[in-house]
Amino acid sequence: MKKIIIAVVAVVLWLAAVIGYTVAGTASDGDDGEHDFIVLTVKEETVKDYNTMPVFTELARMTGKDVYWTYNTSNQYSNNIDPISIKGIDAIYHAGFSNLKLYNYGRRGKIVAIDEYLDSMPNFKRILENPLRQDIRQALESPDGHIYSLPRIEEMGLKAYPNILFLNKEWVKQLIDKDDLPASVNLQEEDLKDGLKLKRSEFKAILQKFCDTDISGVDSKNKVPLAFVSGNWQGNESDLIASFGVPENREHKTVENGKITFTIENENWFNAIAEMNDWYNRGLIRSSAFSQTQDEFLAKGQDGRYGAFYWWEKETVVAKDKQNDYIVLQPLVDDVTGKQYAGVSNEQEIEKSECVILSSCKDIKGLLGYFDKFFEPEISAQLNYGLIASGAFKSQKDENGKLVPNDDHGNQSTDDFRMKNAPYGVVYLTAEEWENNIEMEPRAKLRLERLEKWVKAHTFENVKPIPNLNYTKEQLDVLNMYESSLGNNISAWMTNSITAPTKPSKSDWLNNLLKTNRKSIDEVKRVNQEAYDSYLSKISAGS
Amino acid sequence: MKSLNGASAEAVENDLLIEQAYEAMSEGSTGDGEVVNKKAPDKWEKWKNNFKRRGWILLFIIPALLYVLLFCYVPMYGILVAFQDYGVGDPILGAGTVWVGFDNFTAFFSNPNFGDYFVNTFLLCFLGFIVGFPLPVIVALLLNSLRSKKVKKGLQILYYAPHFISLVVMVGMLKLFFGADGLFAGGSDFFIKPEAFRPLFIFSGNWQDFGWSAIIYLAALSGVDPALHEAAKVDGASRFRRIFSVDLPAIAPTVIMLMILSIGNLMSCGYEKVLLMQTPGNLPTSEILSSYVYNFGLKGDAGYGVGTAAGLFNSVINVALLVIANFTSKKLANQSMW
Amino acid sequence: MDKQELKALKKKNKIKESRTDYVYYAICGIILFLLAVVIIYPLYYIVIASVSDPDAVLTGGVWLYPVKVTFSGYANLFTRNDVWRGYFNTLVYTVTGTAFNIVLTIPAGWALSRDYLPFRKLIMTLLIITMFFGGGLVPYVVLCQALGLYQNPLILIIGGGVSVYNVFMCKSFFQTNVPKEVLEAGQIDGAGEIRTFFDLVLPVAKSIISVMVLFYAVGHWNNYIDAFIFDINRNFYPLQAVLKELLEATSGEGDVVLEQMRMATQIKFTSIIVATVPILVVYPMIEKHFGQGVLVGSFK
Repeated sequence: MKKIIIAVVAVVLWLAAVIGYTVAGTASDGDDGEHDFIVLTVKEETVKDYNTMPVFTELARMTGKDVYWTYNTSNQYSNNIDPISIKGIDAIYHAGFSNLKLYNYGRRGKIVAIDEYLDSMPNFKRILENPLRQDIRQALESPDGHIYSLPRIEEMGLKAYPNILFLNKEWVKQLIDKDDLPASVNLQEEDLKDGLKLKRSEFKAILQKFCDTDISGVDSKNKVPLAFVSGNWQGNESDLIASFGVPENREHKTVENGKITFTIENENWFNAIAEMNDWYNRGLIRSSAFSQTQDEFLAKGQDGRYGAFYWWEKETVVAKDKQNDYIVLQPLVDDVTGKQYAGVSNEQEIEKSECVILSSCKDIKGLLGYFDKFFEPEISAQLNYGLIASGAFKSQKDENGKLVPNDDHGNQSTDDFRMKNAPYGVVYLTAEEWENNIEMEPRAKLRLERLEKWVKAHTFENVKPIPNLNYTKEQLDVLNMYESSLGNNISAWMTNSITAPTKPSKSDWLNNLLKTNRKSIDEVKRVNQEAYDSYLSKISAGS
Repeated sequence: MKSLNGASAEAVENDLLIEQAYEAMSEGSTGDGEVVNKKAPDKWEKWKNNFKRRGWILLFIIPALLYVLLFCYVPMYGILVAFQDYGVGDPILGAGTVWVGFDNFTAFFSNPNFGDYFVNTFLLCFLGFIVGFPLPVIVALLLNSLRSKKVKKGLQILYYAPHFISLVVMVGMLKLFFGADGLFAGGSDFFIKPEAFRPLFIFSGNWQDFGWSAIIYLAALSGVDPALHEAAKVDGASRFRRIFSVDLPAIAPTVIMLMILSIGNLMSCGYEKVLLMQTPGNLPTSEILSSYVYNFGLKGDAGYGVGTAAGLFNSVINVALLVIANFTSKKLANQSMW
Repeated sequence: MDKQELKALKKKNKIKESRTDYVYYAICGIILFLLAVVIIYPLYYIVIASVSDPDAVLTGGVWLYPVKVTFSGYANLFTRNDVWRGYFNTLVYTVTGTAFNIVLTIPAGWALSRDYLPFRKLIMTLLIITMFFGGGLVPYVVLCQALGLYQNPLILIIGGGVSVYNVFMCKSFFQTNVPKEVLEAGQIDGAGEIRTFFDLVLPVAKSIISVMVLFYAVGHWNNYIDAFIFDINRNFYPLQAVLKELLEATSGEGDVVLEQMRMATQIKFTSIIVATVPILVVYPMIEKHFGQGVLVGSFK
């Protein structure tokens, strides 16, 4: 009996302790004080508390509004099935809702239709009403014509060209020194600088040499003649395929002469795949190109084991001491036509749902007025890079009146500084702003410079990327039915054809890719065409 | 030679009359009560009698049952989403609910690749079952027959340790070992080959979990009476023969029950590992229904409706498989889940 | 057969018996050894990867032995308060949660194993249905919100209270492993259902209880997703959630990606060891109960 009593007492005490402990856990960890607004943001633990970020204390001073920032980590946030039900918050920053989710919440009145409050948002209103930029309004509108979120617009002109080809000039030098250059290639050491122009056959011959001869300074087991990450948004094989004269991107679709087109239907696309099969079987392309992740690609590239690679800058791929080994190549010259081509991607520079306001907010106008400040170029720049006071931008402007970023952060690298101090999110940095008000950070500038000098000139004539399209419910249904499995089928056919031991035949392409997927291809094209046409007509109506 | 089952079978015989009565009772409770009553008022009396005498046993099941009713049955209205045009934030039952009938199912079935994905799912799960089900049983039997307790225990811990490796790391190691330039890849890359996906998936899954799955069998085996082994030895049975005459009968009920449950889950392979192992090259075999629904519903926009419809479709197949497996087991092994 | 006869028979069979057994043990040993080899290398790999330079791991330079040994991964983890707090929280949730599971599961398994349980078929059907049909996450979270379990650590103890699968395993155990003789003796004594369970059944159920403890405890130990889904206060995260967050915090965007990747590689491997070693240590203590209390044979 005694034993039982002791056991019962122990259990009761334990339970009491546990329940007491967990009750303590139900208290919210928010600040107890009164604030004008509470905004939930999504950030990692390593990022500074937004409440202590100079850019926000500065904003509080400017606007006189007291905004308290709570946060979810991305893990928490992505698992939260219904974030707008979190109690006590007025808005979600870095909301990242899909179009459908945005529209769903919006039409049910759970988030605010921002277009109804434009009078308290002079900056945002001006942006939306700019006749030259009706594409912005188009991108933001939901199917019911309302705007339910604040966007992030960062137009550096970089995303459309995510592949630059880099070549290891030190390896080529070794070949020159050993007098072992392929017979078809005529290169002097002084030619080995940025902007080198090579025919595709010359490039292939050089890669073959990389593959076959011993290169000093690299383990022949690890050596990769040509590296890329298939299907990745940057550094993919699209520009190699494009050099055959087809405007390839990773979605295999573009607008050609106003028509939505699939590149896979182009015979040049097939020729490219057939040739890549040869490259693969010669060992110029490794199978890792089709199975590695972006991270694995970057990690391996650090020690300079790539003979050539596609990425949008060499600085992230290769460690500092090896970076100068690589030069920028122009897009490869097609041997037959003598032309050079660069593909154009469909990556968007307008991100739609960066911030949403909940309908439960008591002073919607006030909060939107606060967020409207974010669209001022100087604030935008600081949100993107950190604040004047903490040194991301020099405190004065240069002679042209432009804000200039500051690279001096003591022991911290610029990247590290930005990661920890810049909240990113809602910004308005259009091409025009970069031109007139803000100097780009040096690396972005370098990237852009390379693109301007060597790549952009070779864009296909009459080819444009597909803009942010708004689909109707019916159109979405069609896309859902066909698009993802079509994507699967294309990448499977492509990868398996390139890595097969024998060249793919034309009939294989016609039958197993095009014929089997005929209906999917046609439906996806049709729907996109309709959406694109209505996009065009709306834009021209607005301006 | 008496086996465990023999012993209990005898007891069952002795108790046969009572048993039959109970069975009748429980049947009466689920069947159409009134008809039963009219046909056999005796049964009803017996049932009442039994309930009065031994009804307290219900106390033991009630907590678990209440828990299941609250946490599993109350949320079950979510299945209705399969028949709705639903997005997060919509009410499942309310003024704004958009009912679409079987549209979600149509969207799911009419996908041009549906047949391929279905076959992929079946093959992956079925082959996984064929390899993965017997392995833990065999390992448990072998381990149990070891004479050294220390070796047995050591091996046991070693075998189940891989269970705790997270999927991300697991697939990371697979890539390292079998991917491009991998140690065991022999110059090729198993990750871009459609034909290598299933073996890799099944092999690694078994590698991770056979030891863990063997635990339940080992526990059952440790309850086997040593006297049974002694008796069998006397009969001249070798250690190998005793596996079949003593050990296997002892765990047979557990094996059969787990087999029925596994067959009932034949069509539900999780998508997490599949997604981690997918490359454009192995898509022809690696895209299965659940990964397709994930890609379609969660990454894409459309959603919950189709995802739930697919889940429902899967469940129906699984239940059918379960019923078949259970029926077969009842006929062949005289053992039933319920 | 009396004892002397038995001995004589044993002797007679001994030579033949031991020869076939010898072959059997050899084959059995070889199979188990090979399995051990297949298992051990990847485990060994995790250990050496956790103490190697992350660059070497990422580029595939680590194979047989650690490269540029560093314990910075462990140092990083163990100098963090939240990791220790995570251990504490996980311990609380695992112990209490497992106890809750056992209290629900074992009696349920026992009741279901009895043919005389009223409404048995109905209850079985109700339970089996939940193994196949569920309402999905959204209604479940809505329910928990209504019960006050949202943003409440209690969900980490109460959630997943009954695994129907485990209940069936218990049922199967009780069906075969509880000797009828015991129960009959109890009935003659006039023991009611409750006394029967506590005095006669529980003492012979040690082995199934220990297996259930193991299964449930490991489930609690590895659970992290609920902490995110139910938006639990960060100070009350279980260990695995803390580790997940650490890993996530190291997946950077853009230019810092490489530094982050190095850290992530280390954390991936070290966290497996940090989170698994306690279980490997505790397991033998549970396992030793496997063989206990099963009295089948003594009633022959």
